[in-house]
Amino acid sequence: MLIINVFVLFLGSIFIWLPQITTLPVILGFDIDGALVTGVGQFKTLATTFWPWLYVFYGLLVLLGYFSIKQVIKFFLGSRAP
Amino acid sequence: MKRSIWKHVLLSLVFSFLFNVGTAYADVTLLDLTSSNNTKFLQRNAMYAPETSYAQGVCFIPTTDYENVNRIQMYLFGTSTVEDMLSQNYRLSVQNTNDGCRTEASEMSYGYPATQPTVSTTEVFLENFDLNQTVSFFSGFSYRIFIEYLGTVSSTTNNGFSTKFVATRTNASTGTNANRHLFGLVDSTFGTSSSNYSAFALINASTTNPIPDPVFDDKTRIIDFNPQNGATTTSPVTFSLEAYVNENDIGTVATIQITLENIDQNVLLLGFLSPSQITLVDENIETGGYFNFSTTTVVIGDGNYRVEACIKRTFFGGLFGGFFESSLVNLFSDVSDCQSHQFVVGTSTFIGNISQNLWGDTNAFLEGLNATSSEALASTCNPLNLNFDIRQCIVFLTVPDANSLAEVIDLAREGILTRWPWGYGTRFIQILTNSPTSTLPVVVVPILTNTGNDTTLTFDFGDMVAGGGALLDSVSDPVYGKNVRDVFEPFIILFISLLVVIIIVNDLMRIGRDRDSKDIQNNKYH
Repeated sequence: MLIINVFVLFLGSIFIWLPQITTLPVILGFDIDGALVTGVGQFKTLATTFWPWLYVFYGLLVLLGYFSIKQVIKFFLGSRAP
Repeated sequence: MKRSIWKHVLLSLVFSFLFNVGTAYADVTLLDLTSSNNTKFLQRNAMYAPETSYAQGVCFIPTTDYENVNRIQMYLFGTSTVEDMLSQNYRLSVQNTNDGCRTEASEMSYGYPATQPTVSTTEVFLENFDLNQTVSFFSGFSYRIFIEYLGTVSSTTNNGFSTKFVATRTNASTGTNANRHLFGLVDSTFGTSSSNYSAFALINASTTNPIPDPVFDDKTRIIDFNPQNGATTTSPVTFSLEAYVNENDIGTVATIQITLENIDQNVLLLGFLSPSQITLVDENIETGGYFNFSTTTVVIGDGNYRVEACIKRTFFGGLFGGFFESSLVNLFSDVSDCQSHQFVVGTSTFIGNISQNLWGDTNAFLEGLNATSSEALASTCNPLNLNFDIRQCIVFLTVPDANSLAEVIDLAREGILTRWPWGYGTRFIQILTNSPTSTLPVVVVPILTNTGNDTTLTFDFGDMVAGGGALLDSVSDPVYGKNVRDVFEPFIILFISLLVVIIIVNDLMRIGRDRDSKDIQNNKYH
């Protein structure tokens, strides 16, 4: 545990000079963060009131998970990835 | 170079996936029963049924310090009469058990009813117990509060009142604890609309040092479930579960499951013939608050059993007919609470008892470990120290303490994952996983006419979609009584599942081909 702690602290100290990001930026007056929060919230409303969307959303999440895992394998194995 | 940048972006996204456990908590809502600065009701979430069968009463684990308490008020809510409370032969006792009420401890204070109780047919019965000395309850410690009946028990029937109040008075014939009227699952439905429950209030007379407000634990969690750990019961067995679900966890699929497993020799001999685990309850949560989930009565044979209750948030619940429900857990979420009870139906078995005891001992040992400092760790691992314990040492060295792990995750999230530029990825995933539902937009179109009677048309998409969804649920087939959802939902699930599987299989089939073709193009094989 101590090693993980030290590792995290070490990484944190390396990146401490970088600005902290809590929201997505506003570009040309367009608040991306607010728009995404509203958009995702509306999608969730849509999914809960109109149930077929929910399964589409689940399907996309499974695919997202699959491709993420694949990318992680590629990242760690590099050219040795199958 | 370009590829390297993408690798870092990808890595930050992956770490965001793994470590994003941010959940905003709702405002604290105290129960309406709170009356003044000097009286504070013990919150439902701070009270637990003791784990061992001996330790009946209420295990109170405060999250706030309550000092100088000189009176404990007992509230019993029910629609029955209170025959048993007519005498003053009751005694309230407070113990500092300091180990989650697992073992008996010395008594801190006690009290008798301050006044002669009277017959009550009202819904609320109140009795004050003035303590012989003031007590303080400190957070982080556990206290056992229980009521003893000092008179003679004339019958083992429930004389009314709250069934939970007299539930443990069943050993009158044997004499064991015969004179104790204890709280069993006291207050198990406190905070709901149930008519039978009980509560305690702490009171002190000090105006300068009032009892502080309790901290409301609004974490989604399992409060209690039955059968209790170590219980012996008969078939058919009733399974029930009480849980609290935070409103902010609604919106993603929160699943509550109870699974039953036979742990005696039947599994060894016949395990290959039947599934070892049976899912008794598997329900999604759609509203926040306290829940009493489905009670299922199951006929099972004699033997030893383990029942596990889990509350967790998963994105994939139900999509593949339950196959992925337990395997693909939503990593963004910190909603994860699993508890196990072991119990005996009828007669236990030799192998079953071994399995049960081994499992129970191991869990008790692991739960009892709390390496709060490196000093504790050092003393446990030092063979010359009196606290030397090789088992604890190994566990301390290899298993991270849950609190420390949570702190490290917080640290990583604050110190690393939210830094520019990958902080944008973290924030993006946070929005995807934790943003609340918001209403759909309403479009208002003005209609200008030449006659001067201008009007507007309003399109409320929320109403439209809700209406569409409701329509799918309400229009029924006149013959079989099934609505559109009943008929088409399985097909939609099948279609999307097949589509996802085809995409993944297609992609997997292409992996080797791509590499080979690239290698051939690069003349690697020549």
